[in-house]
Amino acid sequence: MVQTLVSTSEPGQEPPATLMPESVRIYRLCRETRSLAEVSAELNIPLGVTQVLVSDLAEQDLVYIHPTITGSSPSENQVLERALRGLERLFQ
Amino acid sequence: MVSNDFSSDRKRSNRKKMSSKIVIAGGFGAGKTTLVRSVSEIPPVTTEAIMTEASIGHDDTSVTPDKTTTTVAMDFGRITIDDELVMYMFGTPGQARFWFMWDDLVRGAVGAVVVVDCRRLADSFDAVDYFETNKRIPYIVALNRFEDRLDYTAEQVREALEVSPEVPIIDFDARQRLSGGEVLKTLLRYALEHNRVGEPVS
Repeated sequence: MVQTLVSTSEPGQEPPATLMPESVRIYRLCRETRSLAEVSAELNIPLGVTQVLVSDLAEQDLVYIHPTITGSSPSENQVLERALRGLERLFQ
Repeated sequence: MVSNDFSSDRKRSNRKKMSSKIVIAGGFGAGKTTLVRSVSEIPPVTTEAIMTEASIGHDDTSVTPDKTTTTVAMDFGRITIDDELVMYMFGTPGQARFWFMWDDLVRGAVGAVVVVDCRRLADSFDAVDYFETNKRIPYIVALNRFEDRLDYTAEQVREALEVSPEVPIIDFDARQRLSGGEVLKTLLRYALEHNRVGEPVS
């Protein structure tokens, strides 16, 4: 999903030489965690393409895909409440 | 080695990061981008999504599948809630012809805000209709005050746009950061309430 956060699994390592140039750029960029949408915008790669490249990298364990909060199950209420408290703090 | 410990510590804390998303919908020029801009900690970013629409009347097995591709621009902004939680806001083109793209965007969203320009109520009808029909995620309606006035009351808007009785309708000023923040808080409170009542959201 567009908001999914991605980070390079071993930020200290250099990308494997076999990677495509686009994948190398994603690998380097995601040494700092960012969302798929941000990766797409910063590297100027369309979203759909970014999604495919990132999931290929994840399959090789080169990047880590973070969990996303959808709020659709009551078990996630705690996180939603945390988000609400955060917004109350930021916009008071 | 010390440096390795540090990097694996960093990696672990890094991994706890989670994200969530809010969809900002509404008619053309209703104030979607203005809202994203006023609440985001970064200037709104635009990314392009190449969307493929299969045209009607052709099957997929044809040698040259007759498909049209469209490039759609999406604006988004970011709010860092705390060290571990980031919230993204995505503004989408409001017209019904982009509905195929909304399905993708709405999936996994905490909720949606339909921004309405009261001077052009009809422009927001598609967006309201989408969320009323799909009922996949909680949504609220935010009336953007242009020139500090509103031409209709919330209840008049509810009736005109056929908004369900339980959906909150609030008015705000998209240019004001705190006013925009109030919209997001209202959406989250409603989403929480929605979960407690145990209404089917899927």
